[in-house]
Amino acid sequence: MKADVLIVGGGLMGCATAIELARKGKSVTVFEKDVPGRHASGNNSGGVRCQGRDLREIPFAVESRKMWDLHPKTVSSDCGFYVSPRLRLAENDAEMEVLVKRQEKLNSLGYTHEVVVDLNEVRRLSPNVADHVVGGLVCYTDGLANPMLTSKAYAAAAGREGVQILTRTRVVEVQTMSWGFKLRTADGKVYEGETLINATGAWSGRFSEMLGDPLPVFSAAPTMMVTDRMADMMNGTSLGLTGRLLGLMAAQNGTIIVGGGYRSPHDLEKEKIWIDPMQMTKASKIMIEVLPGLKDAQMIRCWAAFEGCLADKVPIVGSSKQVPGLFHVCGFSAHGFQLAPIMGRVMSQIVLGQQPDFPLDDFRPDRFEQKVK
Amino acid sequence: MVNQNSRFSWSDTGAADKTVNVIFEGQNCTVPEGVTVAAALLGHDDNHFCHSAAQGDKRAPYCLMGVCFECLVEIDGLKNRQACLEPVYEGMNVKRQQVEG
Amino acid sequence: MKTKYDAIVVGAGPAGLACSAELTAKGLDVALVDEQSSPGGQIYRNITRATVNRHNILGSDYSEGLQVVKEFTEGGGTYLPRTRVWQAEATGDVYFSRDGYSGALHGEYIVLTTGAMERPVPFPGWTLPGVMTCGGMSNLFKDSGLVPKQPVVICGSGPLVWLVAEHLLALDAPITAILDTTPISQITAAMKHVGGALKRFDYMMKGIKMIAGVEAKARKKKVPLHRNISHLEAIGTDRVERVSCKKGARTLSFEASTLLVSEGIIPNTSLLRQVGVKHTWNPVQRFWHPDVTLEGRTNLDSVFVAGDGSFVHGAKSAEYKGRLTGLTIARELHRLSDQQFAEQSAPVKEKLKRELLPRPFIDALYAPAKKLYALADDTIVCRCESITAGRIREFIAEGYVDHNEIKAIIRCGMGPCQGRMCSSAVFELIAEGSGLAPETIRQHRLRPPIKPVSLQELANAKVGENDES
Ligand SMILES: Cc1cc2nc3c(=O)[nH]c(=O)nc-3n(C[C@H](O)[C@H](O)[C@H](O)COP(=O)(O)OP(=O)(O)OC[C@H]3O[C@@H](n4cnc5c(N)ncnc54)[C@H](O)[C@@H]3O)c2cc1C
Ligand code: FES
Repeated sequence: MKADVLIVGGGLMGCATAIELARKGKSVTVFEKDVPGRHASGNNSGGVRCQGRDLREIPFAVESRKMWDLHPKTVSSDCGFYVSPRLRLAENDAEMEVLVKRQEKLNSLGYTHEVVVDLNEVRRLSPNVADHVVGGLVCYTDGLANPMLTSKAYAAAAGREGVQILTRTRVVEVQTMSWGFKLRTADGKVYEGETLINATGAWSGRFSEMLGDPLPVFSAAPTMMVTDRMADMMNGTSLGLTGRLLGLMAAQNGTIIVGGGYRSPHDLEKEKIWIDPMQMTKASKIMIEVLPGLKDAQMIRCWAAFEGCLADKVPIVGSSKQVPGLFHVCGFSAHGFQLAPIMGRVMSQIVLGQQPDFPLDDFRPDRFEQKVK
Repeated sequence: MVNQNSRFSWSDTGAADKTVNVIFEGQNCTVPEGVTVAAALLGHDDNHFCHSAAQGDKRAPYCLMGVCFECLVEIDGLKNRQACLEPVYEGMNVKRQQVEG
Repeated sequence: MKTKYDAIVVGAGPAGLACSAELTAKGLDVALVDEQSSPGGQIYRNITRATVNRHNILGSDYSEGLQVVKEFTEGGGTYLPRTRVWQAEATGDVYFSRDGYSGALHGEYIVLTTGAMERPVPFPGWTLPGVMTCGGMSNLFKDSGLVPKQPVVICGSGPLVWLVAEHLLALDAPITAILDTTPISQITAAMKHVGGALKRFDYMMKGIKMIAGVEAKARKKKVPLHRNISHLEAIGTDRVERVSCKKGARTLSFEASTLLVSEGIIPNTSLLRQVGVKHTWNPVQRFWHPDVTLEGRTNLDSVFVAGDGSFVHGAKSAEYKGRLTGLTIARELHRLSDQQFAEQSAPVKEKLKRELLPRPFIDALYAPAKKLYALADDTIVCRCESITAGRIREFIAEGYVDHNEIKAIIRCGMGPCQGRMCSSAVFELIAEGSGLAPETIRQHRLRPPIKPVSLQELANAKVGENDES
């Protein structure tokens, strides 16, 4: 079986890339060992956030945000997206200083999406924050979406564009040929294609080894929790902190999705995560300090999913220097959901040999080697 | 025991039995010692315990064994207590749980 | 508070009590944890405090439970009442909340004896106040002696229906109807297992006598008793006022301010699924149950399961299973030699086997009716989030065959009950709509906490901080 492009991984990165390539006339096959949305893409916290992004990601995030508004046209679903301004709180003057500097830096680069706000505006946006808060930095256009709905919408859109998505199909062997690649799947079938894309999320480190182009992507299990309905508490504004680990997302149904860098022990081989509830005791303490009314809230459930991470916390997006015809799009380090639309576009551009909308130098797969040298 | 509204009666509590006073929605009610809050409320008042979080319709105990979460009340300021599991004590202040937001 | 034990047993019903008693008798250090305020589980609920009158009504099947409670209490094992376990791990860590704080216990072994629950079957009006399960009514009576004093209808299939009818008739409750939903066809199907059942003639006679007694008493009191009932509906605004149903083509209607329902008992597997115990689909009783050996072993070395949580077999069997599990762990911990284990476990195994003889007959007779989950589109399935069968079917029609995915989009199973009330029905809707074999459909996954925990309780955690992040 043959296709122009073989994509391994049916998460958002794989599907977004597949959609764009198919629209540009390529025949594409996506291999997914489970089903689209089973891992990071369908089980993340749904944050569509430009706020607080690494400077290297900002041009991508700003463009991607525009693409989130176009989803009803591009993937025939709004993906459950709605706006919930993301307000990063300063809990003391030193933190306020950090936020002011951040805005100055962004302004100097020509970006205006993050705005420093005073206590009045903080209280207007989030009336229940604790008295010690001194100010904040807000991105009014940030929002939230439904990850499972988004993953399914992307997979369905890819299907409509003629992409062949092979679910429950694990790629177990890759052979590099003069003309491209030969893939073997767990059921023994062989597929051929000129171009190969590694979009295997948390499995990218392992998968890249199989390809002879090892990447320093490691797996992690970001851990979240969701509360019962607390609509009055959040006032529709999502919150982050400057000096401590915490992200509170105001879901439309009134529940609060809590994250902020908590991780659980896991075993990628066995696909088992041991959710560490003591992480949530820390989160709870901070939550009650920041929004005292949350003492009445309940933790309804925790969850975690596998994600591919890199030490410098920005992804790998680009062509392999070792293996011609191989491209990587992975290592989104727990913030790739928002970036999926733009990543699909730039990936399709580089695969087709076009100039990407934004330079990808900061995301080069070989950036780590150079550091070592 | 104040239970005119109740759909239930206490079948085996004599006048000599020990009782405790529980405040339910500001009203004093005298109930046998040792019963659950769910029993105390069902024996006192036929009404609902809480509202469904999604639509706000009235709800009352369904399983009486801790699995359905339809018996949630506020006890002494603490929300989301399962009435079918909590025993009463003297002076306990119980309120119907209101829906958030 | 002491936190390290040889074994942590979760659930103080007959299985948990017997298992803990066996372990303490062998000199092992056990903590028996339960969310109720006194030992006994559901079947022996409140047994140590119930009045003589209640013991009389409930009979010897109830009072016999005092024996195992006494055995545990005298054994001196640690008993932690009003302690709700909301997460367990195969590492032996058990997380709980009590008295406004959360904490962790650690056991070399954990034994999950979390029992059974009533099979939740949605029907129109089942969220109305006044609709309760038969097991719930029974608990209410054990707890407090409460008895309905206004019109009550009892409806369902299975021994519990007859038991509750028997008790309420004896208590002169104003029953307006007893409605049996067991399809006539199942009686013939069950007859092929009657041979095994008759080896426990005593047991069968007891059942037959109970039903005959209810029939006689109902006739005397002019309480209508109908068989082959379907299409149950609770009607009312803000609470149940009437109950309607069908008997063949005829519609029946009864006044009711309480409706008691029961469609059989299923294992309460929340904690078992969360910890990662493997489950198997039972096609007769149509429920998932953990893969457990007679001795309580699961796929996880440190996790044992006993009692009705492993498969619904009733109180006596639960106690025997608990004992066997206790003996097995005692052997693992070298408190019993293989020989001693064989000697002590043989009589318990023998009793358990005898107890199980009538089960195939009962399971077939009271299997869930074929049309039990033929739900109307506007019937609420997920009580917590008020999600209807029709809404769930829309997703199934689009090709969704995984409750977990549907939940992530429309929240059915996302409320405080964590899917306990809806997952059986959602599962049946998926099986019906997809045509997939039930055993191939992905089960609803339970994530910790299996019961909601308040942030204040979490923030007050009494355990060493885990500083790695
Ligand atoms: C808990 C959590 C919260 C997050 N919150 C946010 C947020 O709020 N905002 C945000 O922007 N981002 C967030 N993220 C990050 C975001 O979800 C990810 O960066 C993004 O979804 C990555 O997409 P992906 O396609 O690379 O990975 P995935 O969705 O994991 O897809 C990779 C796929 O590859 C498949 N695969 C792997 N190996 C093989 C093989 N050999 N053969 C076939 N298939 C294979 C896997 O089964 C998987 O489906 C979060 C992540 C997590 C885990
Ligand atoms: S009545 Fe079901 S949990 Fe209390």
